[in-house]
Amino acid sequence: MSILSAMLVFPLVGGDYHTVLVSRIYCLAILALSLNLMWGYTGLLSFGHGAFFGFGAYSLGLTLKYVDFPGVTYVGVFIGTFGSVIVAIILGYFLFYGRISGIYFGIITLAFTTICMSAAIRLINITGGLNGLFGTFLRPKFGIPGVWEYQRTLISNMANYYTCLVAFLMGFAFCRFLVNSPFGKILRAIQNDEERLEYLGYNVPNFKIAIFAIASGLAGFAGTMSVPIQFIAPTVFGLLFSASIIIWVAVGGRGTLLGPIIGVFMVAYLENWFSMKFEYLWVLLMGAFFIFVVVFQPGGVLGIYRYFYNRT
Amino acid sequence: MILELKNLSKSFGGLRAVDHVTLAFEPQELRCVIGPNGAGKTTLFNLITGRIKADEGEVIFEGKNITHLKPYQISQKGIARKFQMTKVFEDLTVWENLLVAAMGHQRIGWRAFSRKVEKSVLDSLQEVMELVHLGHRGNELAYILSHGEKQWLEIGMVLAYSPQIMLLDEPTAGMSPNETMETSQIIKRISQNITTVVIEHDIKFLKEIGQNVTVLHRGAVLAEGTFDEIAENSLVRDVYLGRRG
Repeated sequence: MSILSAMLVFPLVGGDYHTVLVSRIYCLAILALSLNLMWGYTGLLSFGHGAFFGFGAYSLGLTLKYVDFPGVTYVGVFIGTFGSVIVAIILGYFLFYGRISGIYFGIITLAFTTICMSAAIRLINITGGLNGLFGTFLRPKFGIPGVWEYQRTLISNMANYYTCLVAFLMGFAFCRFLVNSPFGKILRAIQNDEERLEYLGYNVPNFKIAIFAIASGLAGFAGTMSVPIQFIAPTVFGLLFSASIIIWVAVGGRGTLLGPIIGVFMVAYLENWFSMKFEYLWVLLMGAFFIFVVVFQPGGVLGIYRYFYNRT
Repeated sequence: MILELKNLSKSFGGLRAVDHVTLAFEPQELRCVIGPNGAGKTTLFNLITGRIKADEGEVIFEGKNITHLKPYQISQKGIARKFQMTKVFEDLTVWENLLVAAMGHQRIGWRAFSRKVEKSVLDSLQEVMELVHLGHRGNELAYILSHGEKQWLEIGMVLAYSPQIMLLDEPTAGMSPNETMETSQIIKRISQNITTVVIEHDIKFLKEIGQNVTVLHRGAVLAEGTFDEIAENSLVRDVYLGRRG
């Protein structure tokens, strides 16, 4: 409860810079939670999950750039979210019915996101290439499509903060619902012993496609939410970004609801502080973090906390 | 006949694992399949459930040819299996393991997002837990159960699936004599209305259970009969005592 109130009043005390930073972290937290659904609960490790975040961001960005009518923002968010779902279903159909799993799944998702990066860079006329998508048209507007539109374009940092906060809380509630549902138990069963499920009448590839689609849609949604507060560039499709998501989840605590959130806040804040001073060292440090977690404490930060909590 | 095996064969390289096996199982019977190690018993289960492809022959279940279907399709038809090496969901609780099994029977699909399904099976799963002697263990994680208890859990999962046929592969493997006795009681109770086929080695267990016994040797059917008939059969005794190869 107190955390909630802190989140609500933060922009009033945090100052502009931090408000924007935390807004961005909320979006990344949704992204981390979505990877966690796939990896932490179902055991599917994607090395290209950032692609859907990028797809969401570009979808909304491009929609805002080329289309103009009241409520276009909602259309953009819809395309970013459900477009990701559809892409994931198609990709997932071939991957999971093709019985591709484990490391091969990781490799193919990595290839997928790299292809997206190439496309984003080459289609320079549409996406602005490596210069990124930017301009004065990026003004998400609110209102009821076709009926009424809020006259002042809500581009203030505070408005963005509260939008991202609401999105984050919705995303978290959704993940919590999913994980506690019977579907969530089936996901954990897939991670434990897929074959056992097949002999209990489950067509496992269908369930994998379902969670892949859900996680990708959530990632796409997170991407759309991040549009007002950051620069959209093809690097979002790169390995470093997708690997970062994995690191946030691993460091914070894979397979739990709070873990990924802790991971994002910790790593993103540290990164922000570090990369100003030791930019190249930062990547090295992230890698070291990751190795430490994998070797010594697979439960991540949350695991460490629980260990000490249980001892007292 | 609920299940019919016709001329079923499978070879691995030069080894005839299952050799032109023809068997018939009646509804609600309790059958034991025995034989020395390597006789082809588990391979037979693998063929029936679609885990491996038959070289020759057919598996007919309730009149339909299921020989070349995928494992999930075969299990959907109503055949549930307990594996030789215990296969349960280690990170799930006892109750969750049974829930997943029960939902499999219901072909859960979209309804898996609603918690209503949990409430609807709560009572029947409690019954299942009692039947497999895990009555108050519902909230314990499967990985902390002892080996024997995991066997019981897997039997419970098979039962919770509400199958037409239960295939139990060595349910007493690794159990103490007491646990083995308990297991025979469990199986006698749960097999009353369901066709049950049990692969086993333990003689005491077979004595408790064994009405109908089929003996396999080198992938082929050697003898069939009641436990007493089989015990008297000199051919069977020779094979078990190594006098005959």
